[in-house]
Amino acid sequence: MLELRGVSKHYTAPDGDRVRAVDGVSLTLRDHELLALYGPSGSGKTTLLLLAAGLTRPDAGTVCFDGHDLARLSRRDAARHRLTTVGFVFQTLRLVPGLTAIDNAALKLMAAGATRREARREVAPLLERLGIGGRADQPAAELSVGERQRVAIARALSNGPRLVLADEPTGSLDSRRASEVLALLAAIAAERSIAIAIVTHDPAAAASATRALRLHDGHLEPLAAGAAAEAVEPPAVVPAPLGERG
Amino acid sequence: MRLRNLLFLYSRRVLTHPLQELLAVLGIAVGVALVFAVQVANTSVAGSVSQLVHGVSGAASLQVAARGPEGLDDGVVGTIARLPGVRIAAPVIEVRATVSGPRGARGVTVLGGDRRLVSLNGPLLKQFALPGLRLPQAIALPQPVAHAIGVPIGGEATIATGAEPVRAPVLGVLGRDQIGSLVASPIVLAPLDYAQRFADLRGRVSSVLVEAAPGAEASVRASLVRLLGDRANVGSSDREAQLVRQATSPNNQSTALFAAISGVVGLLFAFNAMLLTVPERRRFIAALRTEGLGDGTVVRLVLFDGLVLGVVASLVGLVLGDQLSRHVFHATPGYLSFAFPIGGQRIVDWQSVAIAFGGGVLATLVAALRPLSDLASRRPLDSALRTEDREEDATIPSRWALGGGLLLTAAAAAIPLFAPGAMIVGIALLVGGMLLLTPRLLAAALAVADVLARRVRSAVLLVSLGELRSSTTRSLALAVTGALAVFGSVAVEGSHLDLQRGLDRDAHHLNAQADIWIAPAGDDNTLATTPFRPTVAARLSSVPGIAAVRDYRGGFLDVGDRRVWVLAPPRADPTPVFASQVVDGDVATAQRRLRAGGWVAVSQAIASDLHVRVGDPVTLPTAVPTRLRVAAVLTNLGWTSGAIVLNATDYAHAWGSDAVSAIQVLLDPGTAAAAAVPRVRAAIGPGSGLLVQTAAEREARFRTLSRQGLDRLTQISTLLLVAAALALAAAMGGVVWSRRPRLATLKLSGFSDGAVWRALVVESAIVLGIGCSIGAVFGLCGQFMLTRWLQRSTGFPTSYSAAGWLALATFVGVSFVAVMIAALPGWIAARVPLTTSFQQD
Ligand SMILES: Nc1ncnc2c1ncn2[C@@H]1O[C@H](COP(=O)(O)OP(=O)(O)O)[C@@H](O)[C@H]1O
Ligand SMILES: [Mg+2]
Repeated sequence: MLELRGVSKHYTAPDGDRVRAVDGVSLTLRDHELLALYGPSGSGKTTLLLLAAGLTRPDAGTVCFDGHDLARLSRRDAARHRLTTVGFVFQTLRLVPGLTAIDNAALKLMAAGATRREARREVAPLLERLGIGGRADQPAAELSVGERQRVAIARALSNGPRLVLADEPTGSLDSRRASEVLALLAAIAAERSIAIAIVTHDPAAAASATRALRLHDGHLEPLAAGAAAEAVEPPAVVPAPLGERG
Repeated sequence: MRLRNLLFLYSRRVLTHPLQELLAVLGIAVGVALVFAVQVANTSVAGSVSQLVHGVSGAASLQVAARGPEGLDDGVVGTIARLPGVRIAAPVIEVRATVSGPRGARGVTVLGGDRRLVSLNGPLLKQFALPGLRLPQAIALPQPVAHAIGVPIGGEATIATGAEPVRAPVLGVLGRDQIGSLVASPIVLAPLDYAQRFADLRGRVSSVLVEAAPGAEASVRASLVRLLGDRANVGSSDREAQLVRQATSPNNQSTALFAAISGVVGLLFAFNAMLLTVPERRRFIAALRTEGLGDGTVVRLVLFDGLVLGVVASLVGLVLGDQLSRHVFHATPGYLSFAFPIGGQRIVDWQSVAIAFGGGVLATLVAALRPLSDLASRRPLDSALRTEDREEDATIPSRWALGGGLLLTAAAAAIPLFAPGAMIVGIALLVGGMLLLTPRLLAAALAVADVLARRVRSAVLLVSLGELRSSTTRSLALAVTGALAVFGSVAVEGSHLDLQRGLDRDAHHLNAQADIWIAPAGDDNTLATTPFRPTVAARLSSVPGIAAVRDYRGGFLDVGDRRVWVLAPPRADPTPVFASQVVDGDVATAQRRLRAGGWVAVSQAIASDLHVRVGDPVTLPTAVPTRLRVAAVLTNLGWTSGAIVLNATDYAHAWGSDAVSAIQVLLDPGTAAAAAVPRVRAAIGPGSGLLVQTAAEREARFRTLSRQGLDRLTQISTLLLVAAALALAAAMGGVVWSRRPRLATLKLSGFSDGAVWRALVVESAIVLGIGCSIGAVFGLCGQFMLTRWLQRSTGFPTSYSAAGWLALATFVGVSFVAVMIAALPGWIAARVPLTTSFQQD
């Protein structure tokens, strides 16, 4: 379904240096698959997910979905691809502060043309399953970080995507909650036959995953399921106070 | 996305940041209100005269009007009536007068007519059929005039047209139900022969209204011109309305320009207020776009946003403007009522509404489109993603802005030198240049402040500067708001002062030519335009201390579509024109020629209308058409339609009358004017209707009246300052409040409440100080250009002098007030609980 071939992405840092955030990565993701992606901070995990979603274009290599090169889609088709096919959970969550939890979760469906009522009815069970049904009418700004993460997950799943990309979605959850969410994602991957890739620092994630990979300086390395623990670093708290980001 | 969803998202966005949205609404509303109120005031002046003219002329489409106050021989009425194709020829007496009663006096136009006027069927004319007006000696007044002077039906009012006042019984008080909105017109109705008698116009008429048979209008007009074209003005019956439109247009132009500048500044305030919400709106749109919202929907979302804001704010602006025009701009420009019967009607036409409302909505849309620039970037989603990490997108001053700013400023500076006609464009370029240069100037000033701060080793200062540099968009928005506020105030108020100085200088020159002036009383006669028989002059010879008594003449003359002010100083006057009045021609030569006779000096606008230059011959359309030569070209001497200066002897010849409009008294050296005035009054005797004034008293009256003409400009510049203070206060408040999480972070790192507060105050002082000083410098340039524009396009006398003190005072005042205002929310915000630092932005 998703195929990355020799994909590279470079940035120019403020001091003028070139940063090879992702460097010649090839990767294939199939239906039913749940990929766990590990790697130290700054290794290019977020960039890789953005590339896979078609949210940013590679400097080299191709990203194909169902055989179509995402870089060649028209703006309109690219937007429709994001709207109907992909669900993305951002590391910074990107909730709209003025909206309630359920309206934030329903935003994508509203963007797709549903009425607010329809969209809310659609996402309410998802919020229940994620354990935040009781907080549905709370303004996003008043939710805890863990609750916000689950709202973002609900939004990513709301449109029935075929590919879900989640950037550290469980970073702020306690281990019991984290494994519940992971189990839920695994179950959804299985029941809807969709592909899911999550970036995580949680060694337990590798257990629910069908595959685990490690990113290092923009390069992809295979990771034996049992070796997950040593690849893991302390989780980054998001958003970090005082600007000291991981 | 569905409309209802757009509405829902919009309402949520507004509710999260009500203050910023309110600020934007306020900014736009102030702009729209000013433009609307000025439009209404401007249309009302010309419109009220138009209404009166139509109320009088009724079915008559043609008019034969006398060229001077002496009128036409009333024999012409019969002659006109006998012309083929004429249905009705109705004689009219129309004279300016002062009507007074126990409660006060009012300047009015006396309309005298008889049953022939009634048959023209104008709404006002029907009143001549009133039973009272069939009596030989009675007058009718509109209700507000009767009320103002305190005379009821059956009472007696005093009417003074020139010299001897008469007491006339009031037998009709006209209400709104009889004459509609004309009730607000300053008029007195009288039977024709009665008006002829008390206006000293026996056997004369001011004009004849002519109704032609259907289809015969052209031929009637032609025969009227053949018959009377050399002695009288033959034209359409709404000539008066055209004249007043012309007379008000330069003033309207300048108030409209000032209003437009204020409107633009108001809209820029709004733009800035919206700039404060831009980071948040961009983040919102970026979130939707990464979720897959298409470009079309994003455009609709943004347009919707702007449209709602624009419509709501413009509606508020219309309501505000309506109130403004009722309570602040309601005074009719007094000086115009010397020459025109201007009423108090408030006339709102659809054009005024459309211009103000449409302009407001359009400008808001343009301002609201800022987030759309993200769509245009080459790598569209990258920009959407970039907004994710940072609190806002730092608008680093680009080289493009610097270059553009310098270019615009240079172009603006070149305009007075090479294309003075395009001064308005120059002012726009100047504002554009200022806006583009402000980011660079701000960055440079901050860098300098940074270097200084390192020497001072003040943690508070360092923190303030750090905050300023890390939130460029907000600092910039504040600096630009300050700059605009000071720019607008300095440019508008500065050139207003230049104009006032020019008018005051003229007023002084004109009045200082005699020690004492004697002229018919009444405010309407401030310009000495009412003629009277100079019989009293002889009585002055025996008064001690008088060195000379001279005749001064003056009046109004219709030249083309202008009602021109005529000044005819006595030949003995050594300075009939002054250097500061002369635009073209040698002053000494002009003075010599005017005194010698056969020469005339005319305002620029008249000269260009008649296509004449210094030395050219010109024939004035006076009662006795007279050929003179142009001695000099002048400013308009403060009279919008322009002025003509010739000597009093030439005047008497051209008007065919030896009436004077003032007597100038020169005193012996050593005799004080104030001491001589009572002696002069005694010599003239009571009941003459003449007012005796010293030059200083008369100059003071001139000043009061010219101030009245400029009232609206004063009001506009004051409102601009108030709007600026409000905009800055709200902007500062908004910025400080949204900064609370970061303030809490500062406190976590060990800063005390007091230190955080001081950092906030220092921060606002720095950014506003920089912005306001930029505005002050550019404002002085703007003042220069605006003054030049006023002089060129309206012909007003101006006297430019850089308003340095004004700039300094505005700069200090605005920054001080804004910092004071910021200190309050700052004080509250400084007490932010520490836990706030954990909240998401
Ligand atoms: N928009 C950007 N501009 C410049 N450098 C970037 C940008 N995004 C990421 N980087 C850099 O690319 C590298 C990889 O970043 P990222 O993909 O966010 O890593 P991870 O998610 O693994 O922490 C880092 O060195 C980061 O600083
Ligand atoms: Mg990351």
